[in-house]
Amino acid sequence: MKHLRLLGWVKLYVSCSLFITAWILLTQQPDWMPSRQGQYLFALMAGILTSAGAADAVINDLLPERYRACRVASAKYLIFTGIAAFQMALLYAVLIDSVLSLADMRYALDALVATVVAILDFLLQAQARKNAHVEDQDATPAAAHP
Amino acid sequence: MSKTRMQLQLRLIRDFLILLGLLPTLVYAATAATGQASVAAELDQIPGLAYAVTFVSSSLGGLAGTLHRMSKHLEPGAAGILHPKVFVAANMLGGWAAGWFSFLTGTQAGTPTLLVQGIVVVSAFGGAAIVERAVDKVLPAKGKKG
Repeated sequence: MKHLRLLGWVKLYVSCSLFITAWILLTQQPDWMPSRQGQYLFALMAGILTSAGAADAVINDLLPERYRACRVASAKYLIFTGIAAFQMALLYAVLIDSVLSLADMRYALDALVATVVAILDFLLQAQARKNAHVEDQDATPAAAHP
Repeated sequence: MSKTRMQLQLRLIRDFLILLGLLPTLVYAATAATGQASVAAELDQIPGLAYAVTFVSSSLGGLAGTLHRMSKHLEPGAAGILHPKVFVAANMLGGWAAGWFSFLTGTQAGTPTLLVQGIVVVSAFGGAAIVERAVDKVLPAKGKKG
């Protein structure tokens, strides 16, 4: 349970990091993203991923178990690999159209953290499903006998 | 028509549409790979680190595809995965191949930088499925429901 809460905080960090990045891009208009439409599209997609990631972190991991966001929970590995892909796309854009600085390496770090979170989440989810299935199988013979 | 037959036909139509969509990509990639001077010059201008970032992006797309397909086979009551290493390797190889082809295509077509990465990730997600299905015909990595 403690590990799940820690994972939730890490997921919240990753989601907020993408939100901050998208906000900065929208307000500062960097040279390597001259198209305003491109900025809006990027901000929109980043906003969707951020909302989904933050919802998963808060509802499924940080709040008590009686609160659950099932749709988000079933796609959490997609959400966080998507966040990682966004961060790597930003790093690529900086490499091609601008000058890479040390501060830009945070995109790579955030992508790495998001990827690890996605894999851990998937493994935990698979394990939980397996345990639930085993418990159901154990419970069924007992229910058959009056 | 039985449900199984209909599902099989729908899956074949979907695979065909995916291949049809990838065909122009493959043609462009083949054109790029033949060493046309303008394309070669364009690719030379891309820093080595950008190629590494593209590799990571296609890996992320392949990983998302792998986890997505794996989750369906690991559901309670599902047949499971007979050869997990083959399953993962087929998905990731398909992701890398599709990602690389879409990167070449996007670069040759002068696609905006961020959009190139988006196409790489999406192509890797879909390409993983195609290669995995092709490998599955030769060496079934998934169990069959009994």
